Amino acid sequence: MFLFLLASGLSLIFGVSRTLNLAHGSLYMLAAYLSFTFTHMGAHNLWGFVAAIAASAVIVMGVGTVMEVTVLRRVYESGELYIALVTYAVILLVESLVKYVWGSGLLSVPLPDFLNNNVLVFGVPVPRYNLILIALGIVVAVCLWRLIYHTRWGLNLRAAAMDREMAAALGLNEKRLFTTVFLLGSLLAGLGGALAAPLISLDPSMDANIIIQVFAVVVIGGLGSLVGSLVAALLVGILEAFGVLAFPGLSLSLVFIVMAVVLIVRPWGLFGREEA
Amino acid sequence: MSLSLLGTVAGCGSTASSAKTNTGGSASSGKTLTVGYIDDFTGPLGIYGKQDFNGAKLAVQQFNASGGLNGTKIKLVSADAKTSQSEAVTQMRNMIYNQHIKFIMNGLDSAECVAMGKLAAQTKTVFTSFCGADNFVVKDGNPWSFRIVNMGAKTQSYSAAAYAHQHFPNKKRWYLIANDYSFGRQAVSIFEQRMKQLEPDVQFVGTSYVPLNATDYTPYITAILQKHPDAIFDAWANGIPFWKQAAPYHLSQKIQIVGGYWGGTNELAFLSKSEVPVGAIVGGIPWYGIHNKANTTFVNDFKSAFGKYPQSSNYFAYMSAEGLLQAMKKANSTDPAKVRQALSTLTMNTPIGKLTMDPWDNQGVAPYFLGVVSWDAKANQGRDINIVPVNTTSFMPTKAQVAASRKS
Repeated sequence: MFLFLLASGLSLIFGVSRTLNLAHGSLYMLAAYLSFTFTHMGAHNLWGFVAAIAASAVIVMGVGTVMEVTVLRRVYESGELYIALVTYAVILLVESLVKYVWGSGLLSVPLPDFLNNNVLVFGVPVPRYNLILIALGIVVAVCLWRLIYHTRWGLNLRAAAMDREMAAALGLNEKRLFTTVFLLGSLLAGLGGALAAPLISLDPSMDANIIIQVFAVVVIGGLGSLVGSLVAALLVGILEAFGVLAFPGLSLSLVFIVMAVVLIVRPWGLFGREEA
Repeated sequence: MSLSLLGTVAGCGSTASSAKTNTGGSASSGKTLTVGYIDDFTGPLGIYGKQDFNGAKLAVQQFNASGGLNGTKIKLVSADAKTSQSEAVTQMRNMIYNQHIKFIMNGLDSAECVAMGKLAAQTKTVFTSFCGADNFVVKDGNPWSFRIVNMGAKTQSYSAAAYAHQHFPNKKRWYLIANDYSFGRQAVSIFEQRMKQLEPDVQFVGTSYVPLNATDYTPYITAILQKHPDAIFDAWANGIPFWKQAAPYHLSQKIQIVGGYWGGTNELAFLSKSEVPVGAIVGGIPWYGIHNKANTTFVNDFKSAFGKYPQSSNYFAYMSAEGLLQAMKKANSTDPAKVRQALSTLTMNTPIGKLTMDPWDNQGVAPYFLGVVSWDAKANQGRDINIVPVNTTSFMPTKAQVAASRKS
């Protein structure tokens, strides 16, 4: 589910603005650390935990938006290299900030006791929190689908993704659109980080750890495709789960083998569009 | 704008240590002797580097506060190996050739210490490490490389096997799980071999190696449950995600878990009450469970200096540094050759008990600790109880074994 949230955000941003945001993992990391702070401020019960998650995601949404307005907007026309350099610089800045504020050591976000239990599904124990994450993933996917395919904003987004120059020529405010896409992408990254935090340990290298998997998902699904992100995230999750059971020796590389096959057979991804 | 961007990139990943040194290793008349400390301050093992360094810093502070060696004080300079063997060797070369440092310490990383040990032998640099790779001191050992604290894979796995054999003799079906890196694989392999020696009828029903950076442990937990083992052996670089994700399954209550890594006692402090794996056996150096004057002093000094209680790796770094400094006092010299000789036969009192160096592999012999995980309501955290100090003397390779290993 986390991969879907991050991959869909990254895909949306790229699909419209052709910006590969290398700092996407940093937004995920920042949200995780913020959720640590909020949960240790006394958010011990379920609603406090929910508020901590929401607050972390919203703050990171703001950070991402500020990043787009103040930094990225100035280099869109400068080419992919400069965008890559700038977003790499953001990675370093966020890492330094995290180390300065929270330190370099391990941190842990507690899960409310109510969620730290399991539910029997067809006789198989499934963690309660995992079921909530699955449900949340479905809700987010449906909301994104509604937003993109059933709203004016979504129509503009799809138009800009299809042909940016024509959309701008027809009066679409490109700057505002890019900012709102970045806002949404950052919100998704923040939500992913805050939700993942209780299941892992936090450390300043967690952005690099997740972004590689996210890139694999986006490559398999297709850059710019929301459906691709969902399907690829599911596929990666299934590959990891069954790889451990069926091919333990290959489980580490199974995802990347699939990615390589997709790149060979359909370089634009399973649901991406072939570039003219 | 473009130049500033390039400047930013050029500055990224800068590796050179800019520490200045006043004296080289062999000066006995200088006021300061520089000792290098190379550890993983960033990268997957970066979570340990900075905290480990505190242990070494405390030892040096105490040494200097007591007057040093005939007025010579120690200056500790650090460099980041970035959890990379090549970077560790690069930093070591910089310290040796550019800064003329003749005493270098290193931390945990098993791949780093072996490579650095070889460089130490080539350059006649006194090198100490507390890495987990046993071949650092056995097969690839040399007269200039020392592992003062024997917390290697063999010590930990043998301790786990001995504990399992004594306390859980009826548990025959074992599942083995570890992080996929040098120490993890060694720990599993050694545990397997040792259990087969102790209990020939033991079965290993499954093995999993989890990537160091994995975020999802559910597939591995599912794999364990599917095999219905009697017990689990685990060895982690960082076990917190495993404990957190295993908690909803009540794994430690369903299946006996025996840990073969010293991080276990540290990790309990990071887990909430519902996450603590009650009943699991974890190892390490539990500061609250060692009752002697030296440990009480060490714990108090560490807390005063750094505001927190020491973790296992703080003990390793402290004892490594302490061993090096005591060897200098024993030799009454900062000459590397004399210090090396003194260190190879050193015996010293440490916070965890008496430590004696075996001169045939330059490895120190000290106790290890295992205990049962429980929730301590007063401390409001998970802690080990029923702590057992394991005598590791019988785990150490003999002189003949070391010689045979180095010949092969």
